Amino acid sequence: MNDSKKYDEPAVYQIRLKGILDPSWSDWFDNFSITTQEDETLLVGPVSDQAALHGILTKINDLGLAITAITQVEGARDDQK
Amino acid sequence: MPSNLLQTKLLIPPTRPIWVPRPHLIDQLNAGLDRILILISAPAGYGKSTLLSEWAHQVPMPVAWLSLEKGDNVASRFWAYFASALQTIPSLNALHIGEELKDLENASPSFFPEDAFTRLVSEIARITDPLILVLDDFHLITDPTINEGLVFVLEHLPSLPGGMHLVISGRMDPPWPMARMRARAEITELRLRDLRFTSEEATAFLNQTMGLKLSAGEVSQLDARTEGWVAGLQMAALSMQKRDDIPKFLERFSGSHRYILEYLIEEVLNQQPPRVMDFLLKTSILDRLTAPLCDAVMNGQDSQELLTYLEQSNLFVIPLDDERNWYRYHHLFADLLFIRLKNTQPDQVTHLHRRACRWYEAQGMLPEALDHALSSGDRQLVAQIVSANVLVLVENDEVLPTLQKIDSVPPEEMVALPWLRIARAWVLGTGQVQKSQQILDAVEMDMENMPDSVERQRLKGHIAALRTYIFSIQGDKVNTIAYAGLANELLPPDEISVRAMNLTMWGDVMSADGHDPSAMPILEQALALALQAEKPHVAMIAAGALASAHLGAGRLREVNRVCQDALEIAEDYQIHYHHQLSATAGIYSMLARVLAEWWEIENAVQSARKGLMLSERWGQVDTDLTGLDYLGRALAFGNDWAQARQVFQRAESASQKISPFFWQMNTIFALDSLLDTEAPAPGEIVEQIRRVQESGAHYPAPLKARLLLRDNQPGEALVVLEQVLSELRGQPSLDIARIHALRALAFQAQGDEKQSLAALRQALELAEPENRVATFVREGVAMEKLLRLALSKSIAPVFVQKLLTAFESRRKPKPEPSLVTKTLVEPLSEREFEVLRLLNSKLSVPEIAQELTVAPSTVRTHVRVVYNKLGVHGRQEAIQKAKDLGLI
Repeated sequence: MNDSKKYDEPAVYQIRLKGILDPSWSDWFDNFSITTQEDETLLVGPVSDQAALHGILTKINDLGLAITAITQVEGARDDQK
Repeated sequence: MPSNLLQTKLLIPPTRPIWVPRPHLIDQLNAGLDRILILISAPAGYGKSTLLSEWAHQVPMPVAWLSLEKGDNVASRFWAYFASALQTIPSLNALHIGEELKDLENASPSFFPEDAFTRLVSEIARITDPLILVLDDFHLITDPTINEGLVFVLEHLPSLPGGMHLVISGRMDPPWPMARMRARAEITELRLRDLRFTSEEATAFLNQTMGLKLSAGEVSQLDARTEGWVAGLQMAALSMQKRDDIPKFLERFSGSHRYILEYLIEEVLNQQPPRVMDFLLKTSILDRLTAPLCDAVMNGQDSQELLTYLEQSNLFVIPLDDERNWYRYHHLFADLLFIRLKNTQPDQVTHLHRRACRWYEAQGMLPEALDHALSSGDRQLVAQIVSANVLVLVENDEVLPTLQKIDSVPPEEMVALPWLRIARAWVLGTGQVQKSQQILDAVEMDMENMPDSVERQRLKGHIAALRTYIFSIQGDKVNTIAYAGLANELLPPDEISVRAMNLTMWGDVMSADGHDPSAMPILEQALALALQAEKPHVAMIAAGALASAHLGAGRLREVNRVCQDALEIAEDYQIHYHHQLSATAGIYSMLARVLAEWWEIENAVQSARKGLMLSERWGQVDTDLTGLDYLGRALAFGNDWAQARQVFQRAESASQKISPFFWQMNTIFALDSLLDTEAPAPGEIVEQIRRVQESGAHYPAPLKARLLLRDNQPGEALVVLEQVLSELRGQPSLDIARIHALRALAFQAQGDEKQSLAALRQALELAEPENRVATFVREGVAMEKLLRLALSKSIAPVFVQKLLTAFESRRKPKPEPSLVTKTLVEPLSEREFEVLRLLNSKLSVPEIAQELTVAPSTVRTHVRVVYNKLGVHGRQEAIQKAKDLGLI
């Protein structure tokens, strides 16, 4: 596999939401950084594995927030290379 | 006392007195009744539960309702509630759904119990009147085995009309093969786009329900910003209710890009008087609200008034029962309130949880108390709750999911707080002995550096008592007695309930293989301690052991007395706590044993089933097994080997997992019971003997003698019987009457009438005062003949007459269920025969399908028909029935 990203290790994810979320929500979302631009919000932060990512997504769903994009912005360091 | 909290899960939530009627959605739901599954899937705040409860109150068929919670995401709990929900429908009480589900509850998580599900499906398929089962908040159920099971059930239910409709409602789609279900048109869906308020509904809601006077333009402004989101509209309306400058609010609101909910909640809260706002924030830590609990958390007295105000103002409280004892906040609202509480008064959170914990503890609602203790983050509080209630926690079946959370406590803290580990070890001790022992070893290692203190001694006492328990389960008499003595020395006097428990195990193991008079005072003391400590759980266990010791001595009337006394205590408990005491399981089993000896077979079966139900809920394997063995015996007395056999098979697979001791006890019981039936099949006897040998059990004397008599070796039988008689040396024993009865049969077989009658006379003399009818009737025709002879010689005529009547009644054909016929009403087709033959193999359904080169669904249809024709509900039962009928 050429994929340099790994999915069972910590990685940084960016989640794009519709609407503007106050930065005080940060501790609700596992200390993701919260930045806003125009009418959307970016959550950026490390997740330890896929289960943690799904936990965050569930919280977003529970709060009725609309997701517009999710990307892995930075994979775990690949020490084997 | 508040009304039973758990029952609120099974109630259809009351409808809201003033709400927007949604006839088009009700129509869609009604139309959906031509399918098996209705799925309502939308994020929080779209009125899913409200819509369903409105529908449930008007739909013309019975509705079973289950509001799921996080803790229900465990297969055993889920299926238990699934059964309870269905059983709220009176016409379903006759079905065996509860029993079928027991197998599911006990199934290991890694293995998909297809047999059990197949039986469940055929039970559900027997429901012919239409009914609805609603599973609300299903997004909380992510456990793969639960989901797999539900999919299996759905795919195997017969097609409509009639029968069960399943309604699933949640924030996420379930992890099911939705595409396939859609393709087959098995499912009706209501999704976000359906649930959004239409502009007409928004108008009605804002201007009628909420009493605003908005123009059409204003409504559409709100509707556009909230996109028909019901909770958003509701909050917007609440924010506007007391405002004069509505246009200004609308302008700001519509122009803002802020997350609607966050924006609105501030607006809503700012509209509230300070004491309401304070109440909302502080009670947001509670999953459920009731006035006394809120008073405790708030340190106030006006909670009832506030709760009523909240409900009347539509402030997101949902009543859980018609009496309005319990409420909860709308989940979304509670989440937001809690976030705000944490952001504004972070130091309050711990205090509030502490108060909630104390209130629940005072009510005896330990699972909830422990939940709040864990949420408070106050580890000392957790330790206090756990150490003060360790046994009660362990014996309380509802606390298991909470105790499992202890696993999420970081290991460092577990080391610092040994009580958490002790509690965990107690829990594991009931089923996972090895893990429990590992924990004990670890705690003991860490304790080496602990300074000498009362605390240390207390811990050591607990550890010794736990080891006593484990050794007693393993049937290790020597070590049980050694550790029981040690624990008794170490445990401080205030550890009344653990001491009582320890004494119970001590006395129990002493009387395990025969009567030991010195066990009695130990057990009496155990019971007295438990009663003194007002710990009904422990009292039940002690009473069970005491009853068991009396049983060993053959004092059946005493057993009955101890059991009846215990049941009275249990009843008081139930009246007080609205919760059946699981530990009563052993008492019901013991009572079943006595009733069977008295030949009250039906009562015995009933009592054994009651005990089993409780012990399964409890998760106590040893009690479970005793219950199964006594049930099997009672059924065998009633001559129903088909059922008894199933019971013993279940017991055998369970007992193999615990210890060889239990396995051996179980195979012995099964064989002995088989011989209790009227005409046991020779092949069956060979099979049961093979099982006994496989388990490595030694034959107890009466069983050995029975087998020898069957082999026409009365002389050998007499040797065995005389031997055990001399070993008993006149001590009271349950076995003596039976031994004399068997001696009588042996002498009779030798043609020695005089000796035979003498032995019989001895047996009758011992048996009559305790009314031991079964001792004779179970021995069958030879004994009946002998008793007639005794009657002609006027030996114990009253009792003998009673015995002969019991023989008569046993022969009378029972009003058997119509399904148990000797021939098939409807013959099997050739294909069905093939399927039946393949069922009698290790092949799974897909493998059978491969063998016959047909689709698995076709095989399942055949299987269903075969089961119907045979009048059975499962694979094992089908094979047995087919063998009985000579079909295979």
